[in-house]
Amino acid sequence: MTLALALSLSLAAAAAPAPAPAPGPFPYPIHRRTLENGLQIFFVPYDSPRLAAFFTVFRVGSRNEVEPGRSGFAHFFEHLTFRGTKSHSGQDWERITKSLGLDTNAFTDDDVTAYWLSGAAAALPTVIALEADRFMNLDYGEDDFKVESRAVLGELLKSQASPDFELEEAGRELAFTRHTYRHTTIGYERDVRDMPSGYRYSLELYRRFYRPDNAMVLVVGDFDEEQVFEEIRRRYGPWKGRGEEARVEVEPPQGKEKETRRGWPTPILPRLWSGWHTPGAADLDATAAQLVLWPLLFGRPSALYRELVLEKHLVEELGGEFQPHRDPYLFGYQAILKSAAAEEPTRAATERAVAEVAAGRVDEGLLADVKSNLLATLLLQTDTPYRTGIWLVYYGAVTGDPGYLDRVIQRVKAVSPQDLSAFAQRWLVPANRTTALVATSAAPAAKGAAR
Amino acid sequence: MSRPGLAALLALPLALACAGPAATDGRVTRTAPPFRASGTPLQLGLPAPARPTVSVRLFFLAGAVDDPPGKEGLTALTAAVMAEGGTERLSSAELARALYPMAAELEAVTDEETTVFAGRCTKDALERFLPILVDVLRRPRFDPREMERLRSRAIDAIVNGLRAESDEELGKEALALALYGGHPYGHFVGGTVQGLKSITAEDIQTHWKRVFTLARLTVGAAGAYEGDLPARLARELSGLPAGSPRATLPAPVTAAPRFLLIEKATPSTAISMGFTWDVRRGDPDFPALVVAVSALGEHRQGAAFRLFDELREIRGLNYGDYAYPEHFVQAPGGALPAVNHPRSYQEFTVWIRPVEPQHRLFAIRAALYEIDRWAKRGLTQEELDRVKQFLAGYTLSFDQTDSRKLGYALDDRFYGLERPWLETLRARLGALKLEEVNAALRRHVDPARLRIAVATHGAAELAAELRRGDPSPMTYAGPKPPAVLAADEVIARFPLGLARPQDVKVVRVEELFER
Repeated sequence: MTLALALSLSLAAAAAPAPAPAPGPFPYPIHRRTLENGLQIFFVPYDSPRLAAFFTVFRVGSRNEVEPGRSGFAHFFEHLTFRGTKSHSGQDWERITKSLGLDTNAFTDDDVTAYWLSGAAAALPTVIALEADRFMNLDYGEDDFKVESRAVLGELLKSQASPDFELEEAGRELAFTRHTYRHTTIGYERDVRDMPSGYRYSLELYRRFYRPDNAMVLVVGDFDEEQVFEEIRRRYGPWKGRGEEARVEVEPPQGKEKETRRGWPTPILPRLWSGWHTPGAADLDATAAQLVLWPLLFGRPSALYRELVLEKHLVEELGGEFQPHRDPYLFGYQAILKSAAAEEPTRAATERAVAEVAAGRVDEGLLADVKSNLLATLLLQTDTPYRTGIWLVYYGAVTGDPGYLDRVIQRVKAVSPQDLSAFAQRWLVPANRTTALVATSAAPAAKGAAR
Repeated sequence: MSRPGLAALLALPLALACAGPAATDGRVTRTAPPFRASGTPLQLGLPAPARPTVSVRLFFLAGAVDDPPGKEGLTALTAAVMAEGGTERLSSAELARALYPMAAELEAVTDEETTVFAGRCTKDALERFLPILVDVLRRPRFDPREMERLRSRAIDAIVNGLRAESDEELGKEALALALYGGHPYGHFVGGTVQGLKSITAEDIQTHWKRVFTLARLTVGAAGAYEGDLPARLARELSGLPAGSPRATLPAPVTAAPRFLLIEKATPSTAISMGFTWDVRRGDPDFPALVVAVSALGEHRQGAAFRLFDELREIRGLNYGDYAYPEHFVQAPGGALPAVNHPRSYQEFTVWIRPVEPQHRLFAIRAALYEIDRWAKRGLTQEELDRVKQFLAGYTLSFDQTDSRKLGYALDDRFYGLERPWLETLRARLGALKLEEVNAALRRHVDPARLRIAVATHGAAELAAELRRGDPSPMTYAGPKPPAVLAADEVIARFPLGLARPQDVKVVRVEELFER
């Protein structure tokens, strides 16, 4: 069974500029254009004299890795795009972008792969030419492919040093039985070690997902919008092809509570994670409710934080965050426990806090504070073109439209205690919950014992 | 599901034998920058009324070097108690709740010589935020339960954090112990396990009065404020003790063996190397060295730089390889250097990200080989031109925000600079000649002085291989160009800089940062 696209892309062929929308809760206007090949372009004028950030965003991530044994390939492919084209080798790309003084990098997540260059706005024409060439004409050989796979292994080794990675891997794997969210973005170690065998698969991934109608270009900063649009049209316009939809299986209802425990070979504070299955970004109300509910339940001003961290010293840090996903994902928290004995009282306190919300007992003063915090956070965390763009990259990738961010924040303003209560009753129930714990174990760890 | 990063913290005075050709440096770093002595706080304002936010930085010349012997970690813990532990008016929970609706940021960051209380809020929230900020400095609550909680957190950050959860940070902090043993920089900023355990509530209050004083304070503000905010803050903080300036620090003299191997149950191997050097911002040679070190390995900027290209891009050894001309802390959420970690005495360091254990000896040698070529042959003209162009553009992002601009201005004051460092660097970039850069490299870089910290499982075996000088041939799954294979032949036998068995020291991870 495949998932229908949560929100359909608007693929209007007209390239005429849309009228500048009045700024919504998001502090800056977002101007949208579309090319005939389906590529969507978003401009955000921003007061950053002579500076700009340029993003090419693909709606592909570890969610797309449906084939057995190929977890981690979307991220691996991100690495491969730096290996160059016939016109510009990877070395050329690096040398040219660095000669322009640009800060460059890329990242992959469950639903998105994004490439960005940040620096002098005067570099935009060169950046646009290089990036369009890279994504349209990528050309890497199997030898380069194999070498790059070892860099990914190195990245995995770095991550594996932390029990947080073990916890994430354990939690996802148990919570999901069918959907690809069951593996981390970097992938299972066995799959990462086997990456050198997947050269042909990587070319397929390129053909299926790196297409203009599955991509967005986002430019934030100080630039002439018409000139930049013309450059984008000229360079990205000839890009052909249609993206394919990944055959991602729908996760069936969980049905009963699940739990797993993993060992760790060195002394650490135990890590506890619990997550409930909740709706994806297509459900605007549920997304707004989760944005509000996470800090209200688990954030620093929450009663739970005060009790567990500040008063009883059961928990060293209560963390996690809610991040919207394209498909139904998890609403969860992570607690770094002060001791093994802290597990039961921590879980019981969390249960009580959720039950309070479900019963409609919501601190209305705190609810108002959470809403204020979200609006102030938007101002504080959009202090550079890059940081402004990152918000839009994530919200754009899960729905195909960065303007989704404005709609969610607008909806947040209207969230009531009753909405939160209904949400908790519907989704935050034991049968929908998965819990994972990673703690020091004298016995070898369940996996990676030699670490 | 990510944990807030390890607070920057660790330390142990390694009683390492000083011997061997690469052991005692006898290299004397120049004197510390000229600190002012003043009874009133200095002020620094960078108003930008059109901005939506305001940044405040209260910058103290108070850092880990002020920790009393046996109380290592006291300055960082005192700062945490001030920033998080509540004020006379607000408990810890109330403080968090008061800041929350504003999304106001308030954090204390301690380094070897400095602590900055960095605050940021929206323009509208400023009048609500300032009284809280002033109370954090002037009227901390010193709640015994909060002091205990934060002390326990600091110990966990060492015992369960640094030793257990991040091999990369472990490697870097172990290198710092090796470079600065016996010097006031010689313990981890976050303290030692025993030092933290010995700290009492009274110690914290006494230390607050001793180091967070007017004589050590510079008040900085930037962004959308009206009037003279720095002067207003200086007035409101005038009730702090007058205090006295800190004594000048001695120059570090590294006495550690060439290799410090840390035995730890870990699947990968983390490597850091470096040495102290007698240059810093404001010195005539420093811009040239910044350019040269960038060419060797600009932090997280990819394959246009040597170490990354040779070790990762060509050989697939790991995820990344970088070099630094001064003590480096990465700013959250990006690759830029964090502001307000200035130090009188600086270091050149190289970070080799984790490698598979079977390649660890080759990776160490590959890094040494690249550093040696770089130091002896210098940069090429093409490389110099490219790196100069890179830095001319990249450094524009260094002071892009009000908060960072203010941070750089405060660091300029620390270094006693008349002309801002970034301005100097940008101005010098255009004029730097290849001969100047390569001459500066020859003057300041001696690869024999490198100390190398390695966190790995099987440290004893590695020590034996190092002492025997075993070759470390490299093999690959796919074909490689002849030039790479030829270089590998040299790397496999590249001298490790060892003369005697005691040039390699092995410690268990539990021994580090203990006392």
